[in-house]
Amino acid sequence: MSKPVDAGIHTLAAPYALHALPSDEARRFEQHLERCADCRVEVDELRETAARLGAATAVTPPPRLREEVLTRIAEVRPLPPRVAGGPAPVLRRWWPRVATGLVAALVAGIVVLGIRLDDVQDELDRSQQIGAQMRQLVEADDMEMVRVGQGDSQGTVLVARSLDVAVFIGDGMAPAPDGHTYQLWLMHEDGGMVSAGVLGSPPDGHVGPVTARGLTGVDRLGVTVEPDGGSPQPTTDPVMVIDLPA
Amino acid sequence: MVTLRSVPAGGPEPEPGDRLGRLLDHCARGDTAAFEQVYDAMAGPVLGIATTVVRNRAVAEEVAQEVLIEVWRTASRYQPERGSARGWILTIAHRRAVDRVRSEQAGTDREDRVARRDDERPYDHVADEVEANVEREQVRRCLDTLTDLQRESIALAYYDGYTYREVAQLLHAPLGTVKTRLRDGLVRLRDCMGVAR
Repeated sequence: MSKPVDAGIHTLAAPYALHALPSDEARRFEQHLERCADCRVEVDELRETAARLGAATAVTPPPRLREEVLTRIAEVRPLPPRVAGGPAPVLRRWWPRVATGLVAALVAGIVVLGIRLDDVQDELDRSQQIGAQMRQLVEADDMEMVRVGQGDSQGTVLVARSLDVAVFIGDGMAPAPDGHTYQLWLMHEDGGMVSAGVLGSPPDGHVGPVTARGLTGVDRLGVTVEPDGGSPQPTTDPVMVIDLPA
Repeated sequence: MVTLRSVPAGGPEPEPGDRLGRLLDHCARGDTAAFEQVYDAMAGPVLGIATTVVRNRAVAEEVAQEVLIEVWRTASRYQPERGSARGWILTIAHRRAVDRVRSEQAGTDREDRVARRDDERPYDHVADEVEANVEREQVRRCLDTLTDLQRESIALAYYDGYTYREVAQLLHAPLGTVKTRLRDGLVRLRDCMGVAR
């Protein structure tokens, strides 16, 4: 029951342009597209053709649709253009490599510390869970990546508003002062701050991934230094602030 | 306020590509007046695609709404060198509609769905409210130049949202044959409709 290996991936341009590939094949074809300029040209032409098929189905929309759409867009900020860093597929590929690295580091750490096998298993399960969450996030149509750097420390956030999820990863962060920890906050447009979790004070400067949910009205993420255990509300100014895409 | 409406009856449809592309540019900067013009030009075909693919009118309106908001939100991501603004918007519309119908239907439902399918052409489904346009006539004429098998494969894939593997099963045809039909059919349509880039 193995699927036959498709020698001519080029023949998938038409089903791809028609959105007629199952999602796994569509992903594989997209990877191929990044390397195959001719295929991109073919897909573009076939898409344009398919769009004509769609245009022929035009109907007169009810007036309330117009009202609803115009009301809703008033509350949505258009995405900024992509500047440097390349197109989405490149950004998307970046993630699994990091995830693999994280999982490996996690496993290595556990082995070195000699924690019981059960704990290792739990951690592995957790890693797999993270992996599944990440896959879902990375596959979201509106997934965006934002990075900020302040000195040596760097914050990376993957956001998918459609899933109401943002994932934060910090790198190169100086250890928090003794008895203190980093804490992540959802910063609301109206100035409210809601804790998204304590990040700890990692000796290797690496924190996360930490998943933050509940992004309605949230336009930034912030990291503050708080007394061990975290605070219900921030007690210091953020050391890092990351603007989220709308 | 003057609204430009430019679809002369009977004449060739004006090439709206540049105008729409420029409007998207303005949308990216937050210009809601520009978006209203995009809406007026594209809401009809967007809703048409959604209605054709998902069938249920209420769900189709939901999909159309999501699509139009996505167009507003992602206007800065439109790349003119890869095709017309209209093609870009309708590609989003079709993808969203197909995603919706696939996520809502388990395999068996989908087979029922095809069993209920009658032989009318998919683009006649909503014939009463379909906007009369030159393009529709052209698509009809070009579809008529395809072989039955090409037309059927393309209709199942594009208008009904089936994967090419499902199309192969529904038509009891080998996968390779279906891929070839889809490609040859689309290429023939492309040439017939004079899709230029």
